[in-house]
Amino acid sequence: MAAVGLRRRTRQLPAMLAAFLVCFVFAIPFLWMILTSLKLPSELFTSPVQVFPRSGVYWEAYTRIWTAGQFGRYFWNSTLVATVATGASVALSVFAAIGFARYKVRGGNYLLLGVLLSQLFPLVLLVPPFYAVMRELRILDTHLALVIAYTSFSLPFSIWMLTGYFRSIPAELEESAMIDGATRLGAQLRVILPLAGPGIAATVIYSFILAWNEFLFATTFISSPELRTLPIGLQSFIGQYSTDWNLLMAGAVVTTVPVIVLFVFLQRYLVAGLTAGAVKG
Amino acid sequence: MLKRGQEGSVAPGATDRRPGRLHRSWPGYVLVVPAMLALVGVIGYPLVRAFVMSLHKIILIRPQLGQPFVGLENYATVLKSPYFANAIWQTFVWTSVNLVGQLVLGLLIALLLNSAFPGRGIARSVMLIPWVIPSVVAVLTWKWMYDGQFGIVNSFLVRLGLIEKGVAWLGNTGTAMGAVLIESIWKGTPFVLIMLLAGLQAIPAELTDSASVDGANVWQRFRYVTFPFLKPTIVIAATLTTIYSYNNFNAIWLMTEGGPLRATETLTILTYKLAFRNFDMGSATAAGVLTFLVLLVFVVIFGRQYVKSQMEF
Repeated sequence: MAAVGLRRRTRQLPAMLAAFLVCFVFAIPFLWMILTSLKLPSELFTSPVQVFPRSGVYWEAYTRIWTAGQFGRYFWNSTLVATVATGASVALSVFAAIGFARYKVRGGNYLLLGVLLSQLFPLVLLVPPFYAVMRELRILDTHLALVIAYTSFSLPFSIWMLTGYFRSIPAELEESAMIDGATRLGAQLRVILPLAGPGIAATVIYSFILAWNEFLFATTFISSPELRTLPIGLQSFIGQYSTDWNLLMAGAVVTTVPVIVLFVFLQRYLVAGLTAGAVKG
Repeated sequence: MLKRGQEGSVAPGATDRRPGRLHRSWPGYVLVVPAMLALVGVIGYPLVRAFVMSLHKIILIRPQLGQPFVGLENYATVLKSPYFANAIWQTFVWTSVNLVGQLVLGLLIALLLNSAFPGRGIARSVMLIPWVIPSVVAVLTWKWMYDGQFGIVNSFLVRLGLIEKGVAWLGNTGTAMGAVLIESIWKGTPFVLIMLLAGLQAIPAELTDSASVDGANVWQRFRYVTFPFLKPTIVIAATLTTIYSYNNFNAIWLMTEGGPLRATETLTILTYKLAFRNFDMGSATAAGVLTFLVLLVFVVIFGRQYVKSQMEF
């Protein structure tokens, strides 16, 4: 038996080595980001490049980003915009998905298809008219403009994902809740929502990450430095003459952490949601 | 069947109220309308507005000129411009290399991760890192890696003896496109990989097993068993990759802004530059509409492929 196990292990060895190599190559930029943030600023500008910090790990970049410059402000702005947009988007898509999954909506399937097709349009084509509209509404250079945009950008995916989820939950469950005296919508919210936890979790992570990472609209519609979100704030670390890469990479790590944390918690839901449609065929 | 509604208060449409059936429609509309309004307001209306804008002359920094209707003049200007032809070519290179690179790498890695070995779960999680990292963070990191003097890419290549001294990868017309493409393929491959891996795992193991019992070698098993099963997933992955790369803004804009000398100026970048560098909203929206039409042609071709591949089952 042991010999068979050993032989199997030996056969698996090449795949394991190959996987390790591929993972390492793909992880290099991520590792480089972390290593750069932990080096003394003077250690960054050597030739040939020094891979590991020579004079011990230098943590100060992580304290300096909060005190020097406006990083704390950017972090708060991103948190605010992403949280509000996520809340609005999830609420809207939960209602819409219950509507599509549980009621007869005339032309509902065409509407769903239209929702999906709206993903096709180049975002850059939306920027000039959006700019014009926001100017007319006098909300150019406000967080409200970003919240409105991000809420809608994550709606198509969220509606599709949740409609699929809700359809997979048997309607009998609500029927029995209604016998106990609940109104139909009350029953739906009370019965469906807890069961659709994974689906809702996936839409939360998707909407939040979308808003947290968005660059194009944020860079075009926000001109006041104190209103910048993280992606724009990070870019402003790039100086005209010199760039403090040590600080920039520490900021990059801090920007990435919330996304990674969310992702680690909710990974399986999101991956399942993203791929559900694709493997059906 | 459940017996309900004996109070008689739900009279209209009561015949249709068996469990599992769809219900009366008006609450459905109430539920669906807010989200639809949001989509129409933020995506639908601006799209119509973009088309209207493309028929007018709108120079943002010269409001005194008004916004006269000019018909298709903006389209003519854009189509005649040599920059447009250049942007079409750059878009073609950008999209097709992204597509081929991400699909081939994604497929190879998916096949690798689909085989059983210890540590497979960890490998899959690590492979997702590029996809998860915020794109601005990823792009800025690569920009630092490509640095002409102190970048790790140069240092590595010099040590290998492939180049003698540092190259400004993003500053040369000959290398900029390749350098940005590498970042983009690195960032996009994990998504393709997840989709294909999910597709591979849906293939019944008995099929490949019985093929190998019948004496099929690795290539034959892939060609005649795995590939036909995976084809619909590949077509979807290809369509999404095409759309994402085609519309990509962040990678190119943050690394080169379309330069040097327009060497990385795709249609997306050209559209943005016309709007927010030249402040010519009319030409920008015309370029944007043309950009969309070109994409539509691609997508229709892929869509037909997809329908065909579905029919084969």
